[in-house]
Amino acid sequence: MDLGIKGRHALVLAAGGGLGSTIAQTLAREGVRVTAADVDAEGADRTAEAIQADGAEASSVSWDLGDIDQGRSTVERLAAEGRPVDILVNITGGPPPSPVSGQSPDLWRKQFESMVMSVVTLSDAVLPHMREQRWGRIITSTSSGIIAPIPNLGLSNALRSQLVGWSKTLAREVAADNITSNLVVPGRIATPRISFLDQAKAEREGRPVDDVQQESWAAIPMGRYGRPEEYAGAVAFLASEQASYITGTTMRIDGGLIASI
Amino acid sequence: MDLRLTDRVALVTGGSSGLGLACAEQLLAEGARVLITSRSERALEVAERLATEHGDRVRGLVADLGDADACERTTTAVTEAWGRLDVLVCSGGGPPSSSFMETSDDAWRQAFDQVFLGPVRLARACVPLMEPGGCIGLVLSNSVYAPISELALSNGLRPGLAMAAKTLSDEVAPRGLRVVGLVPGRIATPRTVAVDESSPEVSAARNRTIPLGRLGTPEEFASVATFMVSPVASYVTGTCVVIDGGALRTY
Repeated sequence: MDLGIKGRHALVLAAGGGLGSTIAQTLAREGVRVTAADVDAEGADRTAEAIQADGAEASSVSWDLGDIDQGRSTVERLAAEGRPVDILVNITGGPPPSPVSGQSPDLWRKQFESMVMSVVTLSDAVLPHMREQRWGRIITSTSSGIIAPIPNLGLSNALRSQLVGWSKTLAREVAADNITSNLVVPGRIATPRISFLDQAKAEREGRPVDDVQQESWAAIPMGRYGRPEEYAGAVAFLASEQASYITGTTMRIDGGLIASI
Repeated sequence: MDLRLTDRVALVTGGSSGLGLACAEQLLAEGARVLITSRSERALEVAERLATEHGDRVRGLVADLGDADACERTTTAVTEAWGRLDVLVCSGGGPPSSSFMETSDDAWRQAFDQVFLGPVRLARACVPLMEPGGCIGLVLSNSVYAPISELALSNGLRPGLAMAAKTLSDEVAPRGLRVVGLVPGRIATPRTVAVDESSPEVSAARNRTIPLGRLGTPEEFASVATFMVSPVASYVTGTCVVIDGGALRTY
């Protein structure tokens, strides 16, 4: 299936590793020109170099997502350099594991800036070009916590849920310009972040990490973590020409983890 | 993107027109072998037409999903033809329209056999034949989430099928099989187009409420369905994918 997006330009956030890196490489294999963004400049470079080594076009940028002005100016600079964004893949890092109660207002504000405000302003920044050409894809990666809260990921559950209302509202606002806005929901995908969370849980509960992982697998109907490629394939499909009638939706890639429809 | 469907065997019910036909065509285009079934002889005519391009990768069978014997004939036909089964796309006409108050017991029973029991029975018969990595895609309706006026039968029965599909997905996931609900909004199938033409003003008003401002094409629906039942979507199960141009108002 030709996804019909050869030559389009995608800005992929958090592309220095984990899901973002795999998504960047998957899009590149479909002929998409990719800008890999990450606060970790070396990570973003590594992803861009890996894509270039495959003979595809890629570059990297680096800024802290919490720096809203720099995000906006980066998008403007890309456009000025002849690479306006056709496909925006919003991925933000997860906050520290914590309960939802008893957190300081400063922590809430800081996480809101980097997990919500960053996504809102970057999306606003890419819209004028998408509207002008009457084609665009905004794909925002969230977490299963927006449907079923994850214990001890209080800030993530609460803050990422704001993006549900935002993405659905945006979908209706931009549909007339042939721009789609969708959420993707990963279950437990085998990334460094999941290893970190398993490790944190093992330490908190004084158990071996293998034990924690087995228990985690057992809670997933498919009995295993997802592979980053399995997540990236769905994201690439949502970016495709074929996904032109999908907007305002939430797509789960979770091995059946979430226990409701 | 290689969907890795080459030589996989797919069964598509309701495959002689509308969404089912569009799915069959895309599965064939991706290299799969496809058995098309429908209630009428059209299944054979369509299979014959598609065979001019796809040769013996396509076959047709007349089988009514609401009929228990037809279910067994269908699974027998697919195993006799190709000896395996990887994908079931279960499509079929929707039940007739009516309000809740004017729907009789008989109408409910008839619609239950067609809309609910037919797909359930076929899915149950297909699971034992399926290879790990296989997928069942059930074509549902926006009525899974929000009732559509004058479609009491669909509104009453499709949500049950969606939850039955979720139940099945939990049961078969350990075997490496997936179950996905495919939720079309208003797609320009022959049936929908005929409905729209019979009441143009009502339809125009309804279609204006779709954010993308138009009906979806059967091809748009079918490419999503084809992706979802393909091995590339191997971690998607127990969920519904909505293809509705943003029409659904709720999350």
